[in-house]
Amino acid sequence: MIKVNGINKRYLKKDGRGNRVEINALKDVDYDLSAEGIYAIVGESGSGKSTLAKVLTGVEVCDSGDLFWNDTRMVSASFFNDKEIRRNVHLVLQNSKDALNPKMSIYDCIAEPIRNLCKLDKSTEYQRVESLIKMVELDEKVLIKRAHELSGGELKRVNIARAIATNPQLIVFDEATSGLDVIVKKKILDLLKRIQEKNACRMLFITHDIEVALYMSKDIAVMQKGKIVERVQNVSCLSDFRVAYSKLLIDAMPVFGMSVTQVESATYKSVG
Amino acid sequence: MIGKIKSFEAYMGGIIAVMAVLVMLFGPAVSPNDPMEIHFASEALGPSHEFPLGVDNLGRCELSRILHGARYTIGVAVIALTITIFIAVLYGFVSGYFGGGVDLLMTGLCDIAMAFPPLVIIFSLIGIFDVCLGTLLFSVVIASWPWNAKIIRSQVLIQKNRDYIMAARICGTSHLKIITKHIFPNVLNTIIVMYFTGVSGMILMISGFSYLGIGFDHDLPEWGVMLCEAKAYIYTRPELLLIPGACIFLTSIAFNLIGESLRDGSK
Amino acid sequence: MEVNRVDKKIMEVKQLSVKMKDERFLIKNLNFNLYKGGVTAIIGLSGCGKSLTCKSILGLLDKNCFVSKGEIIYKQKNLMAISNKEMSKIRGNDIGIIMQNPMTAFDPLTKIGRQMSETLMAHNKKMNKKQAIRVSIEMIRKMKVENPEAVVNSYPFSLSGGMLQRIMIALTILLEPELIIADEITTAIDASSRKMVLNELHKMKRNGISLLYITHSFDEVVHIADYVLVMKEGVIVERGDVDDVMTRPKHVYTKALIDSKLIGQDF
Repeated sequence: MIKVNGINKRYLKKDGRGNRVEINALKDVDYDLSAEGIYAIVGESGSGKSTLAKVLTGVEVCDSGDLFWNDTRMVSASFFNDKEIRRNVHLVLQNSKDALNPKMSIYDCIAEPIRNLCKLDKSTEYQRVESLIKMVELDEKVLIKRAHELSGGELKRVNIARAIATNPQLIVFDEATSGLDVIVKKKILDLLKRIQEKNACRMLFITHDIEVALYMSKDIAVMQKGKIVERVQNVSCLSDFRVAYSKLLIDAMPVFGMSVTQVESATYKSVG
Repeated sequence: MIGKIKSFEAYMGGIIAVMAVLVMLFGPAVSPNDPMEIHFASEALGPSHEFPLGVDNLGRCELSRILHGARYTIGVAVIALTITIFIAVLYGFVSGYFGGGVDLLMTGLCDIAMAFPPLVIIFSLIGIFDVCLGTLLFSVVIASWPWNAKIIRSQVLIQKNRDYIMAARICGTSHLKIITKHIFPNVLNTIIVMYFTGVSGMILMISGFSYLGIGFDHDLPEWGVMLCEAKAYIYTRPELLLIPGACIFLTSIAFNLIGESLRDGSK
Repeated sequence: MEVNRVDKKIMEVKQLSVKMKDERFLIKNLNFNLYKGGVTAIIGLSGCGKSLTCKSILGLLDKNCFVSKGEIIYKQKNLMAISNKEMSKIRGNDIGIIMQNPMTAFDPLTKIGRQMSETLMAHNKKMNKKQAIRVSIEMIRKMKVENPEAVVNSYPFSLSGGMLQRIMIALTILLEPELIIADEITTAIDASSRKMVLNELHKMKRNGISLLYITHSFDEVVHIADYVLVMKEGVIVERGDVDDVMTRPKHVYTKALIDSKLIGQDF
């Protein structure tokens, strides 16, 4: 369904001394997903995973490389503005509070993609928003509130409701559970699993926590410093991951950790 | 936003500003005398029943002049400010939202416009067009718009970079809708604050020009003009200076206080 | 139970209650002890009062809340009763603190090496600048960071959160406090760095430093703590040795926290 080949993306950033430094966020990256299901890309901050998510959804334009949508080659720059694409591809941002207009009611926030991309009359629109709110397990009373009145978990649910509003075929989540408590985190992840099953869509989880990836998906790609170092498409057990870096990420999971002394002897490069 | 105003200064400012606006609207209706009428015999008299604040150097009723003058001072300030802010909003939005070369060009123009001191502008325009209301309005607007435009532009830039704008783009919202439905409501607070503090500055600018004799015509009962005329009588009739001076001062401060507490309340 | 573990009691919290200005309870009747070389964890979701407990101990409550009742006995003194000056001497020297966001804990305008050496020299009057830098470099090298000389010469924003947090921990340890309070120190950093941070805390434990560890994740409690207090809405709902509580949780809330673990042992 969506495929990228040889993607390169560079950013200019200011380094410690105020000099402009070029950062290679993505180096020759290939990624694709087609069948329905849940996918995951894992990596630390700075690995380029968020950039890849933005390129896949058209939010960022890559410097070089090809992008294919349903086997048709797309021009990266106009990919984003295509209404068909916008209806079918959504990106849920990390900060769920900031992703909502502080002056808009929750109803209007959720209805926005519907109004832009579908032609529904007022009452159908209302029914749709109502059903979306129910699907994310929130009370209707939340519709007249504003973003600052909701808790972290509720904000996440509103963002999810907005994401599924036009019933997109692909939803990319950038750190879906950041800032959430453990109990709410599990609830949100379980909710997303249910939604994916019900809507039969594709979900791609971008995360720094391999535990979340393992919980949600059987197709996990590991990124390090702008490259995909490994991708296991049918994870059955942890030893499916062979690359040293992947193993390092797995070891960092508390329950499965090696003993303290074993970890201490592994050298850890500074990301800097 | 209104609910958060709790400070004493805000209430004081509010009361005075309301009084000033009432005077502006209804002053002439309640003034005891014609502000332009000269009463020869009562030149030397202080406050009396017929002339509650006495008469000025030409024998005109001081109170009536104050009451009529509010319209000129405050009214013109508000009109000038409205035009200024309208231009500033258009300019700031286009410049801030579209960025790039357009922004560079527009900001450059702003900087050039800011380089001219208001006095220079008004003197040059008077040279061409003479002292009149039009010249005054024009100069005041030209002198003020760049500052406001830059403030609006920076607010637009702040909002433009926030996540909810990107989320709106992801939802397929067009640029026009983003400007009107997303950015504008979030910049409105700044615009409102700008209005109130702007009125304050405008009043001072306009009456300042009038004091110098380059604003309103000499006969008009505008407060700055009254100050100008009272200059010569500073030792003999100091109240002629103090009364209009106090009016200008209080009104200006009142609006400024409201503006500042709105700004603090919206934080 | 509590008595079995490590010997000396270093801090006793008795009946601690914290209220908001409007008389609402934030923490109610907290009782617990901290022992030398032991790690006590407080676990709970946001808003349960765990961070507030730390702030009360350190005298860092903000002006909207106050301690309405209770004592915190440390070194035979009641921390609630001593002066601010005395408290600030204890903070940093006897009781160290590591906060949630390492990015903001460092001065963004000063290089890492200088911040570290200044802190070291302030604590240890006999150390000179060269020695301090050398110790800093060694400390960074011990954390398995490549090229510590470069790190020492960088500004905080060019380092990752995980690295900064580890530097913060190492620095806090070097100040040789008796007790360290760590408030959700892994929340703002990557999962991969979490383990490294916990390992540093292990080393600390081996050196006999006591730790009060605040978290919302049972994974970390299991990894590092001996004793755990489960807090909900300002009250301790369950307490005990970590193994007991993990295998035989009694309160429904504790069970919910344990069940929120995503991947069980059987993966």
